[in-house]
Parts: sequence; C-alpha cells; structure tokens
Amino acid sequence: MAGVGNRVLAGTDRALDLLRELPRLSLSNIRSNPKAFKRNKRGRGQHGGKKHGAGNKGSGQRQNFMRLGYETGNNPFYLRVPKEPYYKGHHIRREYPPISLMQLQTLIDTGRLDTSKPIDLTALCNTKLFQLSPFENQYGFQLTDEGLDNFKGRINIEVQYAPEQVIAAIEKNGGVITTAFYDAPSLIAMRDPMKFFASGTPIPKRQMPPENAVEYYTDPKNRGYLADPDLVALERFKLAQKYGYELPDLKKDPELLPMMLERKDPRQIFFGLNPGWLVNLKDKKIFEPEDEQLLEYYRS
Amino acid sequence: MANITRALHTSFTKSIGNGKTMLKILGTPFNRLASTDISATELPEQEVLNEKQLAAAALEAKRNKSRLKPRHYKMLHEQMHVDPQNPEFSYEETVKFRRKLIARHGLATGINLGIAWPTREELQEKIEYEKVAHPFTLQQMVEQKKKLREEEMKRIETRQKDIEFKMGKLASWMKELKDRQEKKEAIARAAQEKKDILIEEVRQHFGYVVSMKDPKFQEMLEQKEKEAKKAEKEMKKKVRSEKATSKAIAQAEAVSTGKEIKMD
Repeated sequence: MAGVGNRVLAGTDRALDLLRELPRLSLSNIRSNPKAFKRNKRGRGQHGGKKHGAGNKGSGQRQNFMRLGYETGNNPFYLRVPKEPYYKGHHIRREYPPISLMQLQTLIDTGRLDTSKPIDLTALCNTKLFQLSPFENQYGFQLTDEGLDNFKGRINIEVQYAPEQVIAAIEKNGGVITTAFYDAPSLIAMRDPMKFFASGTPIPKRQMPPENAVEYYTDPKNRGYLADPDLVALERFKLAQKYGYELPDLKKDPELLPMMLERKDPRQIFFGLNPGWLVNLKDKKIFEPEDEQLLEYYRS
Repeated sequence: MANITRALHTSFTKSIGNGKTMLKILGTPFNRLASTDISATELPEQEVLNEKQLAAAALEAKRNKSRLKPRHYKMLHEQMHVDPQNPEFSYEETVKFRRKLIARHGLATGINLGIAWPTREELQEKIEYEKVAHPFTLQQMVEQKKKLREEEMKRIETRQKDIEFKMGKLASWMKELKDRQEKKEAIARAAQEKKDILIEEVRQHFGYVVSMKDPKFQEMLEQKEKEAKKAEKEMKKKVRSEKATSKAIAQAEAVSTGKEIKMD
C-alpha cells in the first residue's frame, strides 16, 4: 500500500489515505442487505435442500393437493349430510352476476353510461367494469337493491333479472325496465361486439328462453320482454299503488319518449341491427342476405 | 320482426359512422370461395404502375430493414398478408379464416361475401337443431306451465282443506284418545292392585314373600279362587233370597192394605 509521494505512513494517516483513494460511495458499489433477495428456486441437496415447509412424507410432502372436500377416505362432510335440496342442480342453473343500483348510479354519474340511450347488456359490458362469462353459465346481469334510496337515474334499462323493489325504484324516477333472456351465443356476441364483428359472421338470432325461464319472462310483474305490453302498463300502475308513489307520465317528456319506448324484438340482440346482418367495420358497411330461406330462418 | 327499428345508436355502431350504406349482395350467397368482380376490374389498374410508383416501391424496399418476411411485414402493417386466390397454407382456405379476412380487410379481399352466411346444408342442420332444442312453441310452453301451476294450486288447496277439516276434528279426537288411554290405564291399574293384594295376602299367610311362579303360590291361588267363587255363589243366593223375602213382605203388605198388586 503505497502512500502519497512514497511517504511511509502508519495508523490513522494510512487509513485516511486509503479512504481518499477509494471511489465515492454510490448505489453501484453498496452491497444489499442480508436476506434482501429471496431465491425463487427450491434448492436441493446441499443447496439448502430441506423440507421447504412441505413437511415430512406423504400427501403434504408430495404436494398432491386433494380435491376440495376430500377427506382422505373418510365419508366427506359434504356427503355426510344426506340432503341439501337448495343445491340441487346448482351446476346447471343459470347465473346472473349482480349489479347494484348504487353501482348503476355511479356509472351514470361518472359518465360511463349514456342515459339518453337505452342501456342493455352491451352498454354495461362496454363500461369494461363488468365481465360476463357465458361459458360459466352466466346468462346476464341482475340488478340488486343496494343503494335503492339514492337511485335517481331516469333510464330505459334491460337486464336479465330484477326484483320487485328495484323495478319500483326505476319506475318511480320515470324510467323503464325490461327483463330479457339471451342465449349463450347471443351473449358472446353482445359482451364484446367488436370482437364478434371481427369474426366476420352474421349477427345470430336470439333463441327463445328455455322452459324453466318462460314463466319469468312472460310475466308482466317481472316486466318480462315476452309479456303483453298492456298488462305491463297495468302492473306498472299496480306497483306504484303498492309502494305508494305517483307513476310519472312518460308522455310528459316528448323528447325522451321515443327512447323510453324503445324495445328489442325477441329475436334481436343489438339495437338497430337485425339478426342475419353482417357488419363490416373495415368498409363501414352492413350487409343483408337476400336468400329467401336465410331470411325466413332469421325472421322466425 | 316488425318492431325492429333501424336507427343505430349503441356505442359500437359509432365506428360505422353516419354514412351507413346498405349493400345488398346480388346472386346467391352460397357460392363459396368465388371472387367478386371487384378485384377483376381493379387488376389492370394495379398492373399499370408508372415509373414514379416503381421508384417509390424500390425506395420502400430499401428502407425496409425489418428483415421480416413479406407476409409478416404485411401482418404487422395491417395489410392483406394472404392471397385468397393462391393460398399458401391449408388454413387459408377455411371458411372461418376467410370470414375473418373479410371482417379485417373488407371487400378488398375479393372473396365472395356469401361465405359469411351458412350454406343450404348448414342452414338445414341449424333448423333441425333448433327443432330438437326447442320442441315446443312459446304458447305451448306458457300453457303447459299454467296447467302445472293450476295443478299445483289445486293440490295445495285440497291439502289445506283436508288440514282444516282435521283441525276442526282435533279437539274431539284428542278427547277420544285421552279417554281411551285413561281407560286402558285404569284397567292396568286395577289388575296391578288386585295382584298386589293377592301377593300381600299370600305373604301374610306364609309369613314371607312367595314368588308367583312358586307351586305354593299357585295352590294358594287356586284355593283363593275357589273361595271367591264360593263367596260369589253365596252372595248370589243371599241376594236372591233377600229379593224373594222383600217381595213376599210387599205382597203381604198389599194384601193387608187391599191395594192392587202389579205382577212383574
């Protein structure tokens, strides 16, 4: 260790001299704290190979994670109780993910939903805040009554399920609600129309509801899309009587009236677009089939 | 399908814009893989490239240092990377791929748009599928559901009527049951008491408790029974004689008073 100008230094001077010659302390030459880095590999053998929290022997060590509810040969709890009738057929039941009235109001207030147009499943999915998975037996959205008292929107909405109090809350504000059924292929097209149009297939025909849903969607009390409009009007009045509010007259607002009266055909899935039409986003054109048989198919 | 309005207003239709054109395809839509006339009319124009364009193309070729294959270069720049007339790979001939190609590049692909719709066979298959999947009409399903509901209501009504009737009868039935039970209990109690008395008597006779199965007890029992029978007989006799004497006294009294006697 040579000193400055071949001086022979010792002790403190020598140490200070060394410090003077060393580079400045910076991020590039400091060592990280011990245990600052965690290896993401499980070492084996001499490289830290022990049990790694998996225990000794058996199911735990081999990490063969058993299926949910399995009790290694015991009569499992979920089978031990002989009858759970409310779970019957749960794997094939239709599922309607919830959207609360509070969320709906927030969507309107933050401008994610345009109340000057009818709100349907496509509009809800286009907010990108709600996902729908038709492959998991999800058949659309249901409106729940959370935030019912604070709901002020005047809307024409179409959902797949709505309880009575939600219907009352919407109609009290002078809005309109319809419950409608969509089959899975229609839902796949509706939840992401841009993706659907990119597939280059014509808009599918909406299928009729299955037998166990027919009753719901033909009931004017549920504002079903297959119910008689006159009976729906009557039920609107009855509900207003029941909940004690005055039903706002839709005709008083002639500007909003056409939008409020807009409904889809039971075979239609997009507003303004018929089944069987092909939408081409590149050419910005819509193509209709002319073949009689095709027209017949898409009409019926 | 009469209610369908043609006004476009959902958010996705915005991209279509105001200039919506309804282009009807002429001819049958079933001639797959056939090209329209559009590409045929445009071809000669494409072939006649003037010098400027050639130069521009050469310059572009020089500028292109991506080292991508033409196909991939086109893909990256959203150009037609496939020639529908001369497909390079087999998948380029599939209906699915060609539909997507039309959706991506529009009519410029030169593919007949009829490919987008199902063929006659596919349509027939679809119709048949729907027939099987939806065997009943809406009206039929509604009626059936209504009928089932009515049956259910009827079943509930009859059950409720039955329950009402039975509830009306409940008090009397409860009384009957109680009486029956009490009677049964009384009989059992009497039998037990009789038995206890018997045992007590036997015990007093012998001076210790004798089992009922013991021959001694049985002997005693027989004797007792005999005695009881005898006592009964005597009792009967006594009653009879008493009756006769009272009758005779009455007769005598009647004779003495001169009253008329009614003979039984």
